[in-house]
Amino acid sequence: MKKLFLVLLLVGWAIYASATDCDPYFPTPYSPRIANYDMKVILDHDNRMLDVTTRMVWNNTSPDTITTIPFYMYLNSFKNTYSTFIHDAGGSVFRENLTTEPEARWGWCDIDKMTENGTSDVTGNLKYIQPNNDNILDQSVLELTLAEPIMPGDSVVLDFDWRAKIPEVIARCGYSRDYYLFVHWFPQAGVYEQNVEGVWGWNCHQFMPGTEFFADFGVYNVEMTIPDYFIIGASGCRIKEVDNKDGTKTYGYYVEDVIDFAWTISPRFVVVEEQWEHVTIRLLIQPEHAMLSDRFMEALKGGFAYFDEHVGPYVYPTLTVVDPPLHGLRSGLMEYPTLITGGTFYNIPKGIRTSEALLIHEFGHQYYMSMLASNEKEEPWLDEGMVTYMEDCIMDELYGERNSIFDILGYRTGTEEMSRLEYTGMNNPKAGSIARPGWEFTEGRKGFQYSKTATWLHTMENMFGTPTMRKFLKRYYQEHAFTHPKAPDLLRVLNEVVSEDHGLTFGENLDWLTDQVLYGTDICDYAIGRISNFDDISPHGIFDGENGEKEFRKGERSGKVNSAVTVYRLGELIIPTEVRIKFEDGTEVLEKWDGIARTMIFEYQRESRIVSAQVDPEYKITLDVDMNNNSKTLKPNKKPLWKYAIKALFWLQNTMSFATVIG
Amino acid sequence: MIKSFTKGISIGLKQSKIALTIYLLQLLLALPLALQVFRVLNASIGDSLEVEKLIYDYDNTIFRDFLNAHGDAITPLIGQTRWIVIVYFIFWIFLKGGVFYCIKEQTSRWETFWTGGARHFFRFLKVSVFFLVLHLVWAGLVMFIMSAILGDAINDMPTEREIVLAIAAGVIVWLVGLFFLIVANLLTKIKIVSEYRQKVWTSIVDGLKWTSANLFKGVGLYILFFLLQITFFGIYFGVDMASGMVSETLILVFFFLQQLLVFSRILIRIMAAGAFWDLHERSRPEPELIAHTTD
Repeated sequence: MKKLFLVLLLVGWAIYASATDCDPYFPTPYSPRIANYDMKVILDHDNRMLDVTTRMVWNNTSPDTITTIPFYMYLNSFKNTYSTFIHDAGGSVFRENLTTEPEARWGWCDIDKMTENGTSDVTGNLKYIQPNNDNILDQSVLELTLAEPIMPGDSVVLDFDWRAKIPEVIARCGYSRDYYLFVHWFPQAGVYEQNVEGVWGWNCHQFMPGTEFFADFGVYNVEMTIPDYFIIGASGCRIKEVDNKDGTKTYGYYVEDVIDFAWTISPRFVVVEEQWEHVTIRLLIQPEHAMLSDRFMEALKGGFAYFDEHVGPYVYPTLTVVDPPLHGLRSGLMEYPTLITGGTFYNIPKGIRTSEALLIHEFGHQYYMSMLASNEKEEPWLDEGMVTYMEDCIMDELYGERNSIFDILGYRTGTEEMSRLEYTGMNNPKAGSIARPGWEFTEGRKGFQYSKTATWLHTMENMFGTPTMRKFLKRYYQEHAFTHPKAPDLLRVLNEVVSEDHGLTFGENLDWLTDQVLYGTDICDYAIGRISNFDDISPHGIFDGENGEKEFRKGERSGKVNSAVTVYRLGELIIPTEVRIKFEDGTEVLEKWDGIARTMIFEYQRESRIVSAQVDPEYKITLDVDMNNNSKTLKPNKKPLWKYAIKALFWLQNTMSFATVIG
Repeated sequence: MIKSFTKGISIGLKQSKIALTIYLLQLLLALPLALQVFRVLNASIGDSLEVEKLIYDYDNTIFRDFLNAHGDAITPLIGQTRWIVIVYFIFWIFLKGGVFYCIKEQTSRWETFWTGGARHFFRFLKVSVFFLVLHLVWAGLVMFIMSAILGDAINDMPTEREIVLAIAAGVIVWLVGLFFLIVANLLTKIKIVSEYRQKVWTSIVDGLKWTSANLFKGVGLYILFFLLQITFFGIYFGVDMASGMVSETLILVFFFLQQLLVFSRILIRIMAAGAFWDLHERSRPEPELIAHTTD
């Protein structure tokens, strides 16, 4: 009997082990686990429909009594052109006009039945609300009025059956042929939280253009029944795999302490698995891109190592990376907890590392979107800006400072450099501030949220030093992981760390900088205006003598030179900086300047002339929109100009010769 | 074909003086614009210490900051480039007449060259305009067919690999047509010069007929000269990648290398003209039959 029991135990363990590719259970929870979902999903592939039963357990960790729960119903944003998401975007999403799309293209989500705590049928208590505008046709937020209020410290169990029609990919979600990406796909509770004033309330915005996602932490246990020929990937660990012998398989996935759950299926995925320390990286790549898997893995592992060393641990046991097919590329370049989507092309040359940069970027969201879980809707810069900064650091460390993103046929650019150029090259870098809700960005979303924020962070790194910046990154993570930090939280940590490391060198706090860069719209541009040198000559000309007689005195050279450097502040933004002045005899002077005056003149009387001057000589202020005017020399080197004039001549001659081939 | 290729090289080398003349004329047209590029760079960022960095490497920050701040200064130069290319295109038609006439007369005297250019200019202009239109029609046709095929099929193609291959196939088809038209253009002009033809349209028809009849020889011969140019370019870029213009001496060395390459392109064009002249001569009927067919 004992032997039989042992055999059964071993068989049971073997079945469990074969279905489980990792250990999903944390010894102690990382998060408060407020919204927890247990879902059983059946996919009707032919009709692109989902049939789902959900049990949601919601815990009231607030001091308030809760009477309603709002749910995000993102799929309803893809129901028609009058959803706020599509209507406010002018009918186009990702430059795709949706105003004439056929019925099959659209998606929706309906809750058919909901019971509260297993007894009360509360289906009739559901109604769509529009907390952000008066668009009554928008069904992206559904509010439940509870049968029984939830007292502080209590929970509610909601069971609901719902159906969804999956759209053909719109804003990442949906299908494209036999590839599916299920993201923001289920009715998900909003977040009951304290706002910056400390007032508790629901945070559940309608789905609006330019915004992403925000939800509470919880545990997800999801079972999906799908045709058996599909290869599946999902957030978390696979804990179940059953062949139903009817042409379908049921997979179970489990993940703890995450704010969302995403999954994907396709019969064409090639699965590449590699390990980085405790994390299984599961790459679901298209066969035509499989030759790029080594490049992707190298980038991802570099990202893991960098974040682990300089920010904090990646706590989850898996990361699933989805490579969408070209026809489904609109589902790419996005982040979900423990699942990210990339985007690449067949045989993309090694010198073009945009795919690597994208993967590192999306992986970076595992920290700022997922584990810290800032509000991507209200404060997108907290996520996108931080991630872009980290992406720049990682890319430049992995592949080279000046050539990390492009290094092809002599064209080279670093990723940090690219971020700065994306900001400084905007049509109007004064169009708005960084710190705005996502829906307020009508232009320059990437330029401000991503690039300007990253450039500001690089400027601070240059000013305060890399160790201070890394201390800030670490402490921000340590103090705010799994807590939904807001801008004041980040700025408080930043002020603390800078104050600890530098005392009052940069003032009592950094408001002078953050007010200008985060909340202001001005640009920074310092320039050297003029360099002048005049021989110092004693007074020359006719002078009145003691007795009133006119006396002609001849000026004599003292051997010294009166020199001056004029520095301009062309932009409105003020950042203290330095000016380096070089003299003909090889000596240098480094002047500290508060950067306030519109015109600042540095004057000298020396035995040597000034030959050059440079404001911000260590290139700390990457926010400066024109680096070329930061310096001036009286002994310019014309050789590089000739070099490019000669190149221009060469290419013009070749263009002329080429044009005559057909003549 | 190989015989014509070697003969072409020999004819081209004999016409080095003419090639040098054409090169100098081209340089004269292009040089003012290059000097303007220097002036614009000098006036905008010439005094900046940043410029020093450009001697060693390409620097995207310097260029993008320059374009952001001084992009307007570059716009007129782009407009001028367009006009220079158009002027040279017309000028080349004149020069080509001189080249063919020199080949015919087996001389490289300037007098012959200018006489040939003047004598054949208007007929050559008509031929060039006709073939230019044909080139545009051909390119448009290929693009239209490609976009029609891809437009319908792109949604059915399983991956972008098939799209890349389809585009590559389209480019190959376009190139074959392009080479055909280039050869036909050359042959039309050879017929005008070698057979003293006055009528342009019959020459074009005969040029097209000859090219069709000698498709593989003609296009093959052109590809040989094309590959010769590509080889020279490859060598130049190899040297550029290995060294680059990173010092005063190397700037000077590369200037001469670039100009040598530009000159070689012109020389190879003359060699190609000589090779096709030879190929045409070899394919001509017996002399007594010519009397009936010449205009």
